[in-house]
Amino acid sequence: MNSPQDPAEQNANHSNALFGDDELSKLLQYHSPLLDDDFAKNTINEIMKTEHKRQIILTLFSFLGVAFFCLLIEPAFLFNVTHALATRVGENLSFIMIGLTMSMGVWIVGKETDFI
Amino acid sequence: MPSDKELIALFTGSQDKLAFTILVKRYQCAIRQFLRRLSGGNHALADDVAQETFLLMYRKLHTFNGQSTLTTWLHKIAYHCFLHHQQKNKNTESFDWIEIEESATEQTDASADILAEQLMSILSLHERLVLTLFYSAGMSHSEIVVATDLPLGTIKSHINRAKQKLSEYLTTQER
Repeated sequence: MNSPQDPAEQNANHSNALFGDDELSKLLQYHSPLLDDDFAKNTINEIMKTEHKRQIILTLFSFLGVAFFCLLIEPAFLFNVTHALATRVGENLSFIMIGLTMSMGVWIVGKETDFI
Repeated sequence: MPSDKELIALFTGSQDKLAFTILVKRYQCAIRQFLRRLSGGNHALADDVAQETFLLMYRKLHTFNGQSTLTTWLHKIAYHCFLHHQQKNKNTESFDWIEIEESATEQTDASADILAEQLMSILSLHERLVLTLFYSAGMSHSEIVVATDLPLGTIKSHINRAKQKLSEYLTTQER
């Protein structure tokens, strides 16, 4: 590749005659270093926020996946759990609790993911 | 001062946020400047893509195997993020071929970076890419091959063509 017969190399020599490497290096070098100006801080904050949301969504989908799996494999399992709760604590109270927990879950997820 | 290797080990081993912050601070300047050149002087876009680059670094640092340097690896991610952003916004944004201001060509020092960024806009994306990596980031040809996935011959051709274009442009400006 780097032999003198290489057309790219010959072309490079021709270009050097037009525009020296040193001249070009001087022109194109990064002249003034960019100050941090909170870029790193903002970037880290943004990354943490994004990762937090991602974790919540992943957890939610994991729960949904498990629930779907249970329904698919053993529908009676979920029914039994709900039924046991309903009979042990009292039908109305358990349904209110389940409703409240679900609403809170939806609200927290919505808040964390900026949907609400 | 801890080396990149030590910081990577700290972060991948125990999710040490401080180690990651040091890495971001260490490389933010090079990556932002590279993206500013690539975008032809669009600073807002460059900083957005730089943030995406560091987010990917956060997620993928455990896959970094040390076969290239961290700076080469980061430049590769930055380039792919830039390409992705460009494809996503190809119908809404246009940052190619920015007009070069007359005043910028007459000043030095502070505006030298702006002039260089604006000069990039007369080149194609690949020409900008290899010229910046070679002359500004100081990478060798083999490092550019790793960072861009372009063949060596193509890289050399792009550099030569870009040099010719810049020569011709600057010659016509001097007249």
